[in-house]
This record gives sequence, C-alpha cells and structure tokens, in this order.
Amino acid sequence: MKPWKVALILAVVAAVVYVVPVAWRLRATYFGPLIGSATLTGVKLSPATVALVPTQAIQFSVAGRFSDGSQKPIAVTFSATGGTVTSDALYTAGSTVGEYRVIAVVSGGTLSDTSVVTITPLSTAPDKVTLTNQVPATGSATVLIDGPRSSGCANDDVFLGAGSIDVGSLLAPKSTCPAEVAVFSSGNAMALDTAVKTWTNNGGDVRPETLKPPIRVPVVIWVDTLVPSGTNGPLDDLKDAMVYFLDNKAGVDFDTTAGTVKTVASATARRTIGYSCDSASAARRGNYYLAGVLNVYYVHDIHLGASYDKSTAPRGWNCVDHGAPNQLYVSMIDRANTTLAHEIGHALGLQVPYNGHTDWLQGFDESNLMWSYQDVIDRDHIALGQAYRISADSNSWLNLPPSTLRTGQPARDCGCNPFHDRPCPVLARDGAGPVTTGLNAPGHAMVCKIELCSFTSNVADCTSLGVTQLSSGVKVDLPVGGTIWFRSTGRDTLDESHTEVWDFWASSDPQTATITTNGMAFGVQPGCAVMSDWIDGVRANLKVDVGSSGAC
Amino acid sequence: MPNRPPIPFDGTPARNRRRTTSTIRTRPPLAGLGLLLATFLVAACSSAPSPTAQVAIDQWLTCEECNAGELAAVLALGHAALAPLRERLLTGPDSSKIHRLEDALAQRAQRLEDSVPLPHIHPPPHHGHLSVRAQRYVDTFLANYTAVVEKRAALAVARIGGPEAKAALQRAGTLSLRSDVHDFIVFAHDSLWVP
Repeated sequence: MKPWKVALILAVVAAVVYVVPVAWRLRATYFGPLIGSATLTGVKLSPATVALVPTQAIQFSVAGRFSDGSQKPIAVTFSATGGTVTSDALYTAGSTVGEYRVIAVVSGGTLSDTSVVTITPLSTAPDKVTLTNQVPATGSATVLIDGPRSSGCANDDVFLGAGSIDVGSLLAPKSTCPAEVAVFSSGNAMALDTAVKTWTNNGGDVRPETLKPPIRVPVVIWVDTLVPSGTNGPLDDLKDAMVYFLDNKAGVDFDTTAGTVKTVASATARRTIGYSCDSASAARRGNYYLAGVLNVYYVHDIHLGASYDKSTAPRGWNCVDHGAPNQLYVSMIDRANTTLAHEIGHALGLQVPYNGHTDWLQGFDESNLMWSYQDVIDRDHIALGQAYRISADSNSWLNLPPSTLRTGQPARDCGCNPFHDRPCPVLARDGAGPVTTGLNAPGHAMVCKIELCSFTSNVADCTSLGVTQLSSGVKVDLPVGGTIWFRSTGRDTLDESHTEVWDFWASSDPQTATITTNGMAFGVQPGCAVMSDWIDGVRANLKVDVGSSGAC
Repeated sequence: MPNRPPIPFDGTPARNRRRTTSTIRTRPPLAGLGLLLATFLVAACSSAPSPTAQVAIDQWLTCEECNAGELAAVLALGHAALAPLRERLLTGPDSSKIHRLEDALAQRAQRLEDSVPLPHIHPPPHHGHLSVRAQRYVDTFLANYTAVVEKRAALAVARIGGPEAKAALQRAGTLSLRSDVHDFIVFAHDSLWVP
C-alpha cells in the first residue's frame, strides 16, 4: 500500500477513536444528552413562585425539557439562598421574612431553573370555627378544641360564640396541629371532628362545621297503674329530662308525645316488670320490653332482689351493672324531680366508676345531675366533659350495638380519663372557666383504682393484695378472734395517690367479720364476708375467710 | 291503699304528728331557768352530729341508688346517729330544707313552663304565682322528698336498733303519715335489730 493511503486510514481511525467521542461529549455539555433523538434544552422547577410562612415546608418538583417538546425526570442538584432544601426537593422556609431563591442545576451540566420563595410574616388573624345550621342561630355554642398534650396543641380549650367563632391562634411546633373539634349547642347534636388538619402555625385558619338536630333517643315508659293520683306524671319527668339535657348542650332529646307511655296493670307490673335487673326479672318482663329503646319502668317502689325487700328502696335504678343500660327503674313515690334524668345519664355513658357519680370530684358540686343524692339543690347542671361522653363514649347507649343512633361517627372509650389530654376532655371541663387540678384544689382528683394493703403485726403486705379496681377475687384469711388492718389508697389518673375523707369500710356480714370504717377487721365466726371500701365513689372489694371456713 | 292500724303503743290511740311533744308548764326560779337553759344547750350540743356525720346522714336520707355504702356509713356512726335520725323520722325534714327545696322546685317549674308552654288558660306563672301545673310539680316532689327522708330515717333507726330506736319507731307508727311511709315504718319496726 502506498504511504499516503496508510496515512489516510490512520487519520480516519484516529478521528473515530478520539475526535468523535470528544465532540460527542462537547455536544452533550453544551447541547444536553440525547434521549432517543431529542436533546435536553432546559430545566423546569415547580412551582415557579410560592409564598410561605416561617418554617413552612413545600415539596418542589423538577423535570427536563427536551427538543421534541417532552418533559422527563432528570438528575439535578438543589440549592437555596435562604431556608433549606433536600436532595428530594423538600424545601423548608427559614424564620426570616424575605425573598429567596431555590435553584435546580442539571447534574454535571449548567442548565438550571430558579423558583422564587417569598417568606411572609405569620398572620395575626385568629383561627376560626364557622358553624352552619346552629340552633338557635344567635345562641351561644361551645367549641372545644382538644389536641394531644405532647404536640403542644390546644388542650381542652373552650370557646363560646355563634356563627363564626374565634378560637385563638392554634400554633404548633410543626406545621400542623391535629387538634380535634367538638361543638356543643342547645339545639343541636354534638359535632365531633377528629384528625383535623386545618390548624397551622399561621393565623386565619378556618374550620367549617355543619350542625345537625339533636339525637332523638327512643324511649318507652312502662307505667304501673298503681300510682298516686294528682301527681306530676312520668311524661312530665321525660319533658323535664329533655330540658335538662338540651339546656346543658348534651345534644339529645326524646319523644315526649303520649305514645311514649304504656300502662301496665298493677298486678302485672309487680309480678312481671319486676324490681330487679337479674335474668329472672328480665324473663318475667316478656311483653313489657322493647329492644332498641330505653325502657323506663315507673314502679310504685324499687326493691333490689326477687323478694319484696324494702331494705334498699332506691329512688331510681339503672341496670347498667347487669349489662342492660337500656333498662331503668324510677320509683313513682320516692323519685326526685331529677331521678329520671339522672338514670338516663347513667344509660348514656355516665357510669360508675369513672364517669358516673360526681360526688366530691374536682369541679363538681351538688348541682350536678350525676351527684349521687339530691337534698335541697336541684341537680340541673351537666358539664361539657359529661356532655361529650353522653355522645362519644363507647359505653354510651347511643354507641352500643344494636343502637345505630351514631353509626359512622367517632366514639371512644373515655375510661379513667387523664386530665387535659385526649382521648376525652376532662370530665369536669365546662364552658365556665378552667378546671382546677391538683390534689390541693377543691374536691379530689378522680380515683381510678384502689390499692389494698393488709397489715398484721405492723408489717405492711401490699404485694399479696396487689392493685385492684372495682372488685377483685382477692381473698384474705382471718382467724376467729384475729384482727387484720386493711389500708386503701386511691390512685388517680396520673397514678398519684391521695387519701379521701370518705374512705370507709363496711362488712357484708358483720356476724362473720366486723370492720371499722378505717379498715380494722375482726374475725367473729367461721364464714365469708366481703369487705368493701369506697373512695370517691370507686369501690374495691375483697373477701375475708374467717376460720378457714372455705366459704368464700 | 287501705289504712293500716298503727303500731301498738302502750294501748294509747294514734295521735297526729307535729303536735308539741314537750311543753314547760311550770315556772322554775331564775337560777333554775338558767340551769335548765344550760342543760338544754349542752344536750343540744352533745346530740348534734359532727359536720362529717351530718353529711353522711344527709347522703343516706336522699341518695338516688344508695349503692355506694351510704347506709353503712350511717350505721358506722352508731348511736351518735340515732338522735338526728329519730328527729327526721318523727318530724320530717328540717323546715329550712323544706323551704330551700320549695324555692328550688318553684324555679325549676318556672323554667319548665317557659320551655314547654301551656295553653293560656291559667294565670301566667309570674309575680310570685305558680300555675296549677307548676304548683303540682312543687307539691309532688316536696311530698316525695319528705317521704323518702322519713322512710330512710326509719330504716336506719331500725338498723341501729336498741330500745330508743324501738320507741322511736313505735311513736312514728302513731303519726298520720303518707301510707307508703307508714308501711315502711311497720316494716322497719318488724325488722328492728336487737343487739
């Protein structure tokens, strides 16, 4: 081959090996990569402009623009002149007001795009809850904002108003405050919205709530005809109860027309309605019971037990302890004007031990509907915390199957509720101001359990009895003629202990074993006795087997 | 409900309640009067229950379900509770309490009439006058309150037991009381606890 032909071939090979790749790289650098046959012509960062408040975050997106008009993901590097941006394009505003840039640059290249971020001052406008269908429109509704304590949200905060209600500034360390909203008004059902994401650390957030009519609780009243004439009748009691509940924004009402009342002949009433909650009484009721409604039995007087035993004679009774909260008794001749309302309260979630009787609890006095006795003060008050439970407690009859009165609406077990935290507002929470807490406040913290210890020879033994709530199968042996001292400690929802002036013990069978009010038990004769102690309406039981009788 | 015969009380016929039970018919000398007054004061002070005990008694007398040991708390007071319970049994609720309850019930009745309006066939319930319905409301629950206090007092007296309790129940049985109260006193007397 002639030399000039060899040189030509070598030049072509060199061009292919060296020049073309360099030119290719140069082309990619200045004109972008090729995908298919299109070349990268630009970068698009979105959104192009955005206004944020301090510490607010926003997710940017980026795409490459190509010569064929398409947009596809590309690899870029992000930076910001203020605030921070991650490699995933999550931008978080800083705390200083002003205008900043977020920049996206093609990896290994120079093509780029810029967005403008304007950080504005936090609004000082109050957040609001706006109500529609409020009844009455000009009445004062109560809005409860409740968030988890740990998040720093509003906690059991109460606001009053109508229409559009200022709820202050619901700030949060993060960008959202998951505080739920509960709305109470005298002519509406309680509205409860959970997992609310409206509240931000900016002012002027607005949460709309549409109110609905009160929940119509179905009631039937079975009336023993043996009632004194000229008295205020059972239907009047039901009307009264409705006023109590509506006045206190509890969100329920009743059918108070005459058809609610059904008369039962006296002889039949005493024999079949029964005076007890046991299964035998339930079986006797037969036709005098309707499923799915609150059955209220107006009897001449109430005796617990199958026999005609006057030794109890309560004014009213609810069979909730027997699993039948929809069966209530009212003594026609013993009842107070609030007895029916009180018993309905038990049916609607206000049940011993935690949310039942309110005697001596912080924030309550004798005017509360669920005070265990009525002397001369009308029990006409229901706290907001109680109204909440009437609707939302899972033990309220409104939420117990087969009731469908609140199907699809949130319900929860309020149980022995911690103060000022979810899942439910504190029982005594009201619209009238803050609830005092702490053991030195008037009244006492709600006791949830009683810790029992036994002392013999001045040696405390709390481990053998352990911690108990309402009742326990704990059994203690006591010799005939022997003594043993029981000590109980009420422990509240914060697991703090305190003593209670109304701590007192009683024996079910003093002929077997006696006990002083402060817990000193004495074995009298062989047998079994149940010792009960009450603190704040919470009761703890234990069995005492005297003389190893084996009777317990 | 047919009338029941009174509890036998030494063969004497039944008497109406609230008749003056003790009257000082003589005029003792001034020194004696002072001593008598001091004696009454001491007796009154010594028989008055402590505030704590009084609350326990009030709770038992008016409790709703009475399933929180209210009766047990009263019985734990023992003989100290007998005097105030006896008084309630024989004279009914304290008159100041009756007045307070009457006021509370009247206010409540007024509130209920405002919310559940009646046809305008009766005088409007204002200016201190209660309508027939409102008055019936007040009367019903005042009567029930009185009866409950008397019945609960009878039961507690019987449970405390002893000769004084027996005498109190026997005396109560001679009073003109509501029939259910009378029945209850008979029941309590029959179940009197004898130590």
